[in-house]
This record gives sequence, C-alpha cells and structure tokens, in this order.
Amino acid sequence: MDCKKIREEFIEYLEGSLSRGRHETFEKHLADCRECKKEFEAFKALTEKVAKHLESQASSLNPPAMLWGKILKEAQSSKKHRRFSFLLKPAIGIAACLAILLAGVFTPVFGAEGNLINYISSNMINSAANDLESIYQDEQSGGIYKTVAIDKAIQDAGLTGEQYWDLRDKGLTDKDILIAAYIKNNTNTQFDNIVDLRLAPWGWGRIANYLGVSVFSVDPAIAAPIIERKRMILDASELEINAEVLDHTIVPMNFGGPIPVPQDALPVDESGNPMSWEEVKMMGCARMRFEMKHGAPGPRPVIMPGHCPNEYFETTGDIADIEEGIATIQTPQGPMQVRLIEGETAMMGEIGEGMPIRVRGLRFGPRMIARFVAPVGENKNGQSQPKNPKDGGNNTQAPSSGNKTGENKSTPKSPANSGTKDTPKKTSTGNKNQSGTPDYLNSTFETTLKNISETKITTDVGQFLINQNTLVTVKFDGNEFALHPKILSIIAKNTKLTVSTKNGISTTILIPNAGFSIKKLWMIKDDFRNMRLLCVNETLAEKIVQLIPETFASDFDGIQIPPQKIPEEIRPGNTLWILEYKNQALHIAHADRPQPPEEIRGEVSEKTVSFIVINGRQINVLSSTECECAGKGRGSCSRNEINVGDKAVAIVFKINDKTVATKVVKMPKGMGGMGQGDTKKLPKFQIESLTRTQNGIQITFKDGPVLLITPKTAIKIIQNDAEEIPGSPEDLRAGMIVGVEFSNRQALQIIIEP
Amino acid sequence: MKRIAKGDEDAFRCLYDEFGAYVFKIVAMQLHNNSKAEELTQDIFLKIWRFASKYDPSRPFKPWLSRVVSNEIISYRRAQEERTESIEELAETGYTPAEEMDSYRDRQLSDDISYELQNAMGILTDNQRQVVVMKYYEGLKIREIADGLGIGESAVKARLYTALETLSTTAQRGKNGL
Repeated sequence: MDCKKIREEFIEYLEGSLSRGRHETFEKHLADCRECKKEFEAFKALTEKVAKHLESQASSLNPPAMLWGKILKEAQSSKKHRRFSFLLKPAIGIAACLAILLAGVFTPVFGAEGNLINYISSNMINSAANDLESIYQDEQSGGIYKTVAIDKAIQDAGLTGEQYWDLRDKGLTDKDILIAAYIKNNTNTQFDNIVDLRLAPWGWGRIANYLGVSVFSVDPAIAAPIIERKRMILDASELEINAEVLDHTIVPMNFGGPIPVPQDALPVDESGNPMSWEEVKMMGCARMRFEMKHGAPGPRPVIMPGHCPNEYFETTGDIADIEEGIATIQTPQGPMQVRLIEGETAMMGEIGEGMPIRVRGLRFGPRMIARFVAPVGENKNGQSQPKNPKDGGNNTQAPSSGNKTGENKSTPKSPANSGTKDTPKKTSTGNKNQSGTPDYLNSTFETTLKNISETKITTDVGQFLINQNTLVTVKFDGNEFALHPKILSIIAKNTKLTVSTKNGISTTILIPNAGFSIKKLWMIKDDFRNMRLLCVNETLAEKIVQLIPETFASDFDGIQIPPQKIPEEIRPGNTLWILEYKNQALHIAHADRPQPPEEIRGEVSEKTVSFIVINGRQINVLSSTECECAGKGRGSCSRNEINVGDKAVAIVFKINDKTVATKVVKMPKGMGGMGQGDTKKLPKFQIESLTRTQNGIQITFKDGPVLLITPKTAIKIIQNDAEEIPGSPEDLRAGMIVGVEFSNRQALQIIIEP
Repeated sequence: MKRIAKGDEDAFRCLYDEFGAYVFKIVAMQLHNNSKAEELTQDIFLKIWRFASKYDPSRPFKPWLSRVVSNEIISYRRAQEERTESIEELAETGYTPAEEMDSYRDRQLSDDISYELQNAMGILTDNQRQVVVMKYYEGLKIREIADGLGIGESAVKARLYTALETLSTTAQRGKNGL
C-alpha cells in the first residue's frame, strides 16, 4: 500500500471503520513509514484540536430558557389540529383553488380579507410589520426602542402625538398605524380613508390590493426601516426623548414603558450644572438627552427644561360623566374630558359619576390623559377648587406623590352612589376620608394584583410606586419569604394581596397563600447553568422546574443570595425548598446540607428502562441522567448504549436510601494502563491527602492549594495513545502527580497521567 | 418516541431535556447565528413532534435526529439568498491555500489557537462546516454523515479533508499574523 492511499484513510482509521485487514495493513505501514507516521500524528492532533475547539464553542452556546415554552405552545397548537390533519391535507389545495375561483362570491370564508389573494397579501404585510413588535419585546430597554421606533414611524406618517392617540383610541394598534403610514406614503390616499377602511373592518391585504399597493415591497418598506432604526438606537451614542420623571425612572411621554435610570445617575442641565432628581421631578415633563450604554441610559442624563411639548397638569373637579374610559370633569373653568388609562390610573374601581376627584396627567393639545386619579378628601362647601388659582383648574404643576387629601374643598360623595360597578374590598387599617374610602396613599388595604414591576404595582384600586425600601413578601404556613417584585410579576393576575402605602409609595406588599403552590421539598439533580432544574421528590417522581432569571435564593441562614450566584451555591445533591409557580422556581432556599456524591464503578449486571445494577447496587437512571461513552470522542451516548456487561462508572446520590444517578459513564472495553500523554499547560501538583467532606471531596496538594472536588469537576485519565477518558475521584490517590485547573478553590479539571 | 407519536407531552419534554441543548448547539455552530438557531431548533422539535410516528424504533435515534437536523439546516440554507463567501471564491481572488498544504506536520498548531480556529471556521463553506461539526462535534462516522446528507462517502471525505486543510492553513496564517 502506498503512502497516498494510507493518508486517505486517516479518518476511517481514527473512527475505527476500516476493515480488519485494512486496519492491520494501515498500522503496519505506519510502523514502517516514518513520514506517514509523522503525518498521521499531525493529522490526529489537528482533528483533536478541532474537536476540542468545537466542544469549547458548544459549551458557550445554550438555548434560551424559554425555548421549551415556545416549542410546547406550538406543539399544543398543532396537536389540536392533528387529528383532523389527514382530512385537511388533500383538501387544502382544493380549497385554495376553489377560493381563488370563488373569490368575492364567498367572502366570509376569508373574513375581513374577502378572498385568498387578499389573505395572502395580508399575511405578507403583517409578517413584515411584526418586526415592529419584536423590536421592543423581551428587551431590557424595550421602552426606549418602542418609544423611538414608533416616534419615528409616526413622524414618517406625518402624524402628531395627538393624532396617534386618536388612532389608538379608535382601536388601532401600533402595527396598524405603522402599516397605515406605509400605505399612505405609497399611495395618494388620505390617512383617514385608510383608517376608515381598516375600521370597516377590512384586512390589510384587502386594503393594499384595493389601493394598488404592491405587497412585494412591504418587507423593505416596513421591516427594514424598523430594523435599521433599532440598529441606530443600539449604536447611538446619544438619545433624546420627552419623558415624565419618577424616582430613577423615566416614563416616555407618548409611548413605551418605564425606563430605569442607573441609581448613580446624576442629571445635569444643558449648561452642565448638576440637578437633583427632585428638581427634575418637579418639572413633571422634560426633554431628556442621555448617553446610551449597552442599550440602556447612561449615568449622565441631560435635562432640557422647557423643551417638552406636552404639558403636565393637575386639577380637581367633579366627575360629570364616565363613558368608555373618558371622564368628563366639571372644573370651575368648564368641563374637561380626561381619558383614564386602565391600570395606570389609580382608583379606577372607585371613581364614578358625581365623585369629586383630583387628576394628574398629561395634556396633548386639547386632550388629557390621566395617569393618576384620587378621590379628594373632605369638602365643606361642595365646590371643587383648582389647586393653583392662577392657572385655574387646568394648571401645569409638578406631580407629587404626597397625600394631598383634604387640600381641596369639594364635597365627598359615597362610592356606593357613584355608579361604579366593581368597588374593591377595603380592609384599610390606615386613614379614611369621610366617605369611608381608604386613603390609599397612606394606609394598609387588601386589593387585587393586576401587575407588578420593579417600579410600580398596579392593583384594582390603582397604581403605587415601589422603591428600594418596599418589602415584598409572600406568606405561607406562617412563614414569610422576601421576594423580588419581578418574581411576583410572574404570578397570575388577580392574586389577592395586602398593600401598605406611605405617600403613595408601597412600603409592604404581602401576598398570602393564594394562586400558587409553595415550598416543596425537592432535590436538585440537573445542571443549573442551563437554567433548568430537574428535581426529584421523595417518591422519585420526576419534576421539572424552570429556573427563571429573576429567581432568588437563600442560604441555610436565610441570607439572600444574588441571582447570579445561584449556579455557584446550589448544586446537584442539595435538598431545597422551592417556591414554585406553574413549574417555575420563584424562590429557592437550602433545606439541608448538600450531600457528597458517591461513585459506583463496576460491571453492569442488570438493566431496565429505569435502573441499572452495578456491583449489586440498583441505581435509578432518570430521563436527564447524563450518559457518556468514554473514549467515544465528542458528544455523549444515550442510556440505550449502556448494556449488561459494560464497565461503567455512576456518580450517584441518595434519596430515602434509593440511589439516583446524575451521570453514568460507560468505560471502553479493554481499557489498559496509563501511557504518556499531553497534560497541556495545567500546573502539576502532588496529592497529599483526600478527605470526604459534607460538600464533596477535599483534595490537599503538597506545596499546592486545597481544593474541593464536586460532581462538576472533570477528572480525566490519559491513555497510552494520549486519548483522554473520563475518570472519577476514586482514581485519585495520595502521592499521585496530577495536572490541575481550578478556580475559587474549586477543582475544575484534574488530569491524571502515569 | 412511541409516546411522543401518541401526543405525550411529558415524553416530548424528556426528549427536549436530553437533546434540546445538543440540537441547539449543532445548529448554532453551523449557522453562526443564535437567533436563527433558536428558530430552527424550535422547528426541528416541532417536526419531531409531528412526525414521531415515522421514526423506526429498530434504528438508533441519534443518527435519525442528526438527519432531521441536517435536513432542516439544508432547507434553511436553500431558502437563503445570501451565500457565505466560500473558499473557492477566495481562490478566485488569488488566495490559494493548496499551495501551503504540503504537510500537516509542517503546520503543527499550538494549544492556544482557538481564536485562529474560530476565524478559520468562519471561512469554511456551509457544506464544509456542516461535515466538520457532524464529524467532530456530533461524533458521527463517515457513513452516518453520508446517510444524513444524502451524499456519497467519498464526497464526505473530500469535504472533510478540504475543510481540515483550510482550517489548518488559515489558523496558522492567523497565528503568524499573515
């Protein structure tokens, strides 16, 4: 056999797929031919490096935690149609043909689109416009993107902020407005006409075809500018928006959600003079310019007083009428129409016709949007009074979170007579005004959660700010757990809770045991780093709990561990308390000291679907048990590849005397002695002693560090041919010299060489 | 898979737990695009969900899965208009790696070539990168790769050798600052 032929068989030789005869010929040639041998060794080294590089690359790639949720949702959706699919499949083509033929005759088939062609066009348009929604979904700084992207979009359409809100009032979504703007810019049609067609209601495909817009241009026309806009925002060094300012939170005036500002942010005015946040808040609304740092506001926002085009107002008056979320308020200066924002307007459940209220909000031209509404206190002369006589009842004033109850003079009226339907249950232990209404700004009351974020809690009686001193707790079995507000945002809405407020800021939010299951004893069995837990309870029933990024942890003494520390602090084998909601871990705490792992090695003597027997010990193998085939190269093998007669090492822990495997490694047959191998650049130490502790195995090196071996420590043995095979702590002996990689007193990798 | 074919969501979850990250990693490495990898991983698992009944339980699962993944990636690439600049195109511009490929041992790579390898991986054609990942990450044999891609074993070997030569040369050039 010539050298060329031999070199063409390097891959087959390494993967073991050469026939026995060729294998022997190959090896004989290598033994005789020094050139080919060198060439082969270089080739082998290269492939190992490539494999190692790929493995290293793969280790940094992990699917998003929420991917499974998306897959399941889609799967469940398809499941609904599954049983009918065999009927539908051949029918789809026929139906499509018929639909084209009958377009216009059986219009109800395609709803607002009228016919199949419009339907397809609509899909294309909507698909392109969906990028608008994706631009600010699931983004830390989504509020900024939304604000700026939509702002740009409506500018392109030639709309004012007021017109935008009018369209929203009519029921159009941001996406609708964007598409309407696009069609307007591509036709000579009046914007109002497009809106009328949409409200008819016509589908977008039908409108586009009716107006002669080519749907093939929608993607570059709609999606591309949005994506480009987002890129600009991301790359922008500076950004300007009009915003309302709360405590370290800016609320864009027209669009988007609250945007947190760094706690250490120091605002300055246009001349560079420092401003306090109180001063900024006093303005109510400001044009803000800030640096962008990693897609979020930087630490030096510049405040430009007087540049904000929208006016902030605060006034009082009696409600003359409420219809479809628009309240007509009788002020001394005349009637004022105010749109109440569901969820953002305090006391939505309390206000009703005839009630005197105080309103704070924003003005867009002739329109008002109430961000905060509160019943006023005792009124002796029955007349609502403006707070600032100079400006009448419609004055522009600073917002205040203080309790202004009693400042005006309007006569309170009973909520029972107010005409509102859903008066919330009140268990106020604090102040009440004479109408019996709790002073929600300074009291303790029971209410129902609608939404909660890091900065505010929205309840059925209104919205309250949350600051860093707010204590959010959940109560169960007499115990209270402190939780991060983000965690509660996951809990279903309509959960009952008790809120205590002071000056409109929530001081405590207590959630009793309602709407979610709490505190189950679980034992971790899976890797935290992929943000997923497989927990095993006492009866060995499997349960998967998703670890959400906001999950908090406590150690044994109840001290809270920052979320980013979770992977370090909680390891397989630990017993935990998990506050769980819909398979998501909201809060976790150690219930017991971690149990050290145990290694069982020997021959597999029996095997079923659920367990294997090694050295007479039955080991439960769960669905997520890692299985590896030593010497197989990259990747792992499944449990199916581990059979009776195989040599195997199992890393196990116990639950109620039942042994459960976290990892099973199948050893290659004929595993021989140790040969000279490449120990890379790992420093070498001599093992002085090995001690089993509660946290794992402590390894003490002579003239070296004292390290802890955990189940995550990779222990590798170099074979004769420099191939690495997985080992276990049992392979380690005092006196042995090993290569060690470690971090934070924890052994990450130990390589045993002869 | 039988349980999945009957619509058992728990079984489906178990399968995802065992192979979800694996599939994602393969796709992400082949596409060099995590968001697309997420989409494709979702599509792949939905295909498994829908077509689980087509799986022959007498055959090993992993090669079957690998074939599903490969098909999905191929379909995705076919749908892409843009094509990654290939080594052949580079050759047209005067870059001739073959000139420097006389011997592997002349290009012994040091241990810290990950950065260079990373760059070199990016220069491979889609087809080359695909076989490299299948071979050296998935650990498939030549025959299994050929089955999965629907091409001959010799074609797989040719792609692999070319890819390895490219990786070796490009990484070495990067390391030498060329």
